[in-house]
Amino acid sequence: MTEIRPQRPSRLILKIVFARLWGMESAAACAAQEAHSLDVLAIGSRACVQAVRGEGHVRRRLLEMGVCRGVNVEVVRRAPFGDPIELRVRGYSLSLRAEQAALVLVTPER
Amino acid sequence: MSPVARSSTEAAVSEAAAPEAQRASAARENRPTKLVAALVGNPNAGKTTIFNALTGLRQKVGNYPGVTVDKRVGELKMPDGSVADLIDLPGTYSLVTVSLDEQVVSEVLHGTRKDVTRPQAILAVVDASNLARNLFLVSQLLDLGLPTVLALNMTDVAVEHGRPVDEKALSAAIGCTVIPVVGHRREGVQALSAALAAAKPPPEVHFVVAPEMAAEEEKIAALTHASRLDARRLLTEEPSADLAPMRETYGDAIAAARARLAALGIDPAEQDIEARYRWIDGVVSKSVRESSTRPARTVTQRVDAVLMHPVLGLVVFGLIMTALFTAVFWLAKPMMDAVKDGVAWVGLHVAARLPDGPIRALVADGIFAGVGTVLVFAPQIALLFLFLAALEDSGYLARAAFLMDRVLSKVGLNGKSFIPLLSSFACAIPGILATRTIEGRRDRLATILVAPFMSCSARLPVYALLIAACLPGAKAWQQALVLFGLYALGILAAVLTSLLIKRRLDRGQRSSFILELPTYKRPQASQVLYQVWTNTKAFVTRAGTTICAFSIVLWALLYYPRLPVGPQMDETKQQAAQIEHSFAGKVGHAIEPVVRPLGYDWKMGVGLVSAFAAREVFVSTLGITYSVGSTSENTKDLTKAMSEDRRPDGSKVWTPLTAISLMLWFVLAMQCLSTMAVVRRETGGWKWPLAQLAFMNGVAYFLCLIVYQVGRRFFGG
Repeated sequence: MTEIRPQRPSRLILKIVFARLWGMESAAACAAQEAHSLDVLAIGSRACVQAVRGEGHVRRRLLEMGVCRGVNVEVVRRAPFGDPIELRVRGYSLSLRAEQAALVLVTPER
Repeated sequence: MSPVARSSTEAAVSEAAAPEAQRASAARENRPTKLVAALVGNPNAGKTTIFNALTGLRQKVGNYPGVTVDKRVGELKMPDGSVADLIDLPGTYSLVTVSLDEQVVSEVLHGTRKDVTRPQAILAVVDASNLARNLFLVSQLLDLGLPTVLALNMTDVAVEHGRPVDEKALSAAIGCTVIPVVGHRREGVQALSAALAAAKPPPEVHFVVAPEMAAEEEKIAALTHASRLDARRLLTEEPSADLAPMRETYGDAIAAARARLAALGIDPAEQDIEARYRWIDGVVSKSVRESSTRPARTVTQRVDAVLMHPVLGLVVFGLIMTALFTAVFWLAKPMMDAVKDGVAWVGLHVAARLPDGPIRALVADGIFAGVGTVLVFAPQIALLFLFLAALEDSGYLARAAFLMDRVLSKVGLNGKSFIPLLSSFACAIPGILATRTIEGRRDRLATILVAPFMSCSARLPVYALLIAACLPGAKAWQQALVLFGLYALGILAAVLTSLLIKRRLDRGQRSSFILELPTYKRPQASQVLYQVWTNTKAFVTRAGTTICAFSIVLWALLYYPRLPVGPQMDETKQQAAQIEHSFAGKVGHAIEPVVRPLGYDWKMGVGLVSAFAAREVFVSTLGITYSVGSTSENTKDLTKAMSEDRRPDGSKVWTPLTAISLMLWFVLAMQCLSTMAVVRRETGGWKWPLAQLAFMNGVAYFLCLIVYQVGRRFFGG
């Protein structure tokens, strides 16, 4: 069910070093794990955002709403027909269509 | 902001304010006589409540020229007795523009809107129970370098959630005055104006980004002589109007810098946003004290367990919408009748005082008929807005959008289209106005285009008459079934049209759904009534001017040229003959060849033309042409007269097939001038309303033609 994206070790180490350098401890922790996209997470699972893909307004709006690298999110529920999904992020509730949630790469929260 | 940039900003302000500044007292230095402050905040932060609490009814509501964004300016009493202007800007998550609302906020705050004085101070409303996300906008406001006061709203909710905000620590961390308020109880609101009068520009915050990006920023700053802040905006944003000239001059250098960063895997916008959130995390950790009594689940979470439940949630949703729908039709009915009778009574008495002749006819049949047609809808529209405002204020509307998004996105709409479409069952005009909450332009346009397919309440009297004419002996439940079928047909037409739009219009315009689900609140009476008042007023003025103007034109078309009074004719016969002789009658005869293949005669043609004022006018016009009078009590006489009407060859004019064809026409055709006027306003041109007119009436004509011709072949109707 999950889309696993293996990372090359060299890139992974670079990412962790980069994240440590910029004081993003949580981001570093995230990078150490393998990433899924947010839309495939089960209800109730918590995860750490590793990257936000996509482009233009949608990506920017996601970031502005607080869905950016290193933040923890929880999948609260899905709407009656499976879409959109409700997230808890930075202490508030945000709903996204699966299409937008798929832009967010996450790793399990530590 | 660098010292250079800050002083240049101040120079711009004092320059703009120069004539007024000369009149200002020395004690108040460079400030013009009238302080202009902007009220800014996230949606759902309680901005409007604070605006109303601060300014009371001393408000001016208008529109920003060129865009469909409401502009509200209120008078704020300052502690020294002077009066300041407080501009209520639309709720926004960011100053970087995505929607029209955000564009207006950004333009006003950067001083690039010519119709608004650039504010000299900012009152930022911040939801204490959702501090981190709310501080994102604050971080952008701080960049402006304007004196800023934070109104820390919903402090009660934050305490309830076990995350109280220490306003002193917050103030120290940000460098602005922070006033805790509970907007709906007006607690602390009075302290805001004093704080605003004393506010100082905040200290500059440096949001730390990757060194590669910082280096590029410095290069751009050196090249363009802009501040570091503006250099960052040049790198990260689409150009706001204030930076557009610079962006044009140095476009190549900026693009090159972006390309160099992209090669390193650095996205400037992401860097900037993350840097702000890192600063926010620091501010929040200093100012929020997690209390030990933190509830396991907040009230909102417990309510949502029911209202957002996959099954129960839909049941409750269905119940709420049914209740709303029932109320809007059944509760409004007696009020609508009362308004109708009231206006007719006044019209009669005014007309009675006037000498017989064109003036009297104009007053009675033109002006009062027009006013009546508009006002009769006002109670229903007001009720609709009453329920919608209460639902919105409570936080449920966002949930409705969440629940409905899947279904509506399948047909190319959006969860947020649901309420506009539901409103359109009362009247397409409030429905189309309500589409402003839909952010995506594509989704908004699609909703506007299909909204008039929802059977509005002006169609109801027409349906009732036609059902009676079509099925003379039918029982009530049979009539109800037909009525239901007509509503369903409208919905079907909307779905099919929307699917068509999805296939034609979607190229390159992806639709998205990113929506905050705010905490539940008890709706406030003052807030709700205010919404009802402004929206109903907007309906009456917007639809009213069109309907009244057309109603007077229609009167003239029916009244002139005059027919000499025949001695033997009674009044109603005389009226009927007059109509046939009038311009409208001539129009009816002229379009008869066009509408004949659909089964209509010239009288129905006159009715169809008159229905452009409002569809229900069709009924009263038929009443006049069948010389039974135009009042509602005569519906029985009217159906009788209709059933007795014969063509020259002796066949019945009103066969069931004719009635069916007319019903189809009324379900599908665009024949409401005020709706078209509103669509023109909301889409910014005649292109879409005309396309809508051509499409809807084309489809209606084609289908009516097929149904009538095929039906006649098979059933001989």
